[in-house]
Amino acid sequence: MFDKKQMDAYSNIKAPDELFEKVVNAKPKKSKVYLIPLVSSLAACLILVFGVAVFFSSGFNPNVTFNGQSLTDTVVFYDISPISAMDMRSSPMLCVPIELTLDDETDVLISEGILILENGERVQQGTFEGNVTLMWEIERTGDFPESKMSLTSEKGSKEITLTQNETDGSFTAKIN
Amino acid sequence: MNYSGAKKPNIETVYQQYADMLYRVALSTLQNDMDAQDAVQDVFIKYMSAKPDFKDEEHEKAWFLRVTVNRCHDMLRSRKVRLRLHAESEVEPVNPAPKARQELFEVLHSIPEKYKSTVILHCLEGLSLQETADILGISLSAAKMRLKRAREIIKEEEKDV
Repeated sequence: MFDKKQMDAYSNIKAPDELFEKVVNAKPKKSKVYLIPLVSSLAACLILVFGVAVFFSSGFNPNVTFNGQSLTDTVVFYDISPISAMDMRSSPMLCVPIELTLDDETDVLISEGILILENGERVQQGTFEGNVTLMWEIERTGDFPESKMSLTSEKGSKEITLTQNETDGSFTAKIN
Repeated sequence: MNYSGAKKPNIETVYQQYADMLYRVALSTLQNDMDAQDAVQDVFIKYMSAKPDFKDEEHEKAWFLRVTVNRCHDMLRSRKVRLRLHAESEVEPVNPAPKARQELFEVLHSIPEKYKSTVILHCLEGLSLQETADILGISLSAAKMRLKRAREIIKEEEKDV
């Protein structure tokens, strides 16, 4: 991030001599002891109010709609049409529409495939906020690997895991 | 240095130990010598008034850094500081800073306040990300994200130049 010259320039910053005089001649502030009970009571009330508010509103809870279904825990869905081996060869990509409602700036990163944004841009990761519509395009492969999408904001992170059931061809999306 | 109830060291000893570090952090954050001096002076006044007890040296250092960062943020918020804006750079300073420091401050100036303290404490002061997060009162993942964002912004700035 910084080169050696800049690091050295930073290390060479020294407190000016006059600051020493200012500090040693400064007088400590007297504490206003008589205000402590009043301030403590007010602080306790505020902490209680904020504590209750935070308890009900904290955490990272992105609203995720996966293939048209709200993803609160697990969503099971089928692709538009069951795929035969021949279809897989002719249409090797699975496209999953996703809608995200993000209260904060959130990094979205996928382990497999590509994300297609509303403007057609194709990315593997991005930073989003607000209402976002994405198309997750994943290659259908013979061994049906798990694909993961991680959502990370300053409040926390969530991971969506997409797996295909080999027996019935359904897909399971799970958020945790 | 004595800790946990032992006789407190005098202010001169504490000053010699921490003044340079605190002034570096304050000057990098506020980018103004007089404001940085005021911030550091306020920190030592708080130290003398509060007479806090520390478990060990790490605890003491973290306290000084936390109070300094908070004081700088308060000063920025209350708009009492005279931020060194680009327009002001036309005025010739009495003691111009070395070129490398000016370049460093230009880079820091481009980083939003929210991310700047993370960069200063981790990249310049050499604190671990966990220590930085503890001092700033944020989670480790938030510190990592702030650092990542700051790096992206600096990269973008470098591209534009």
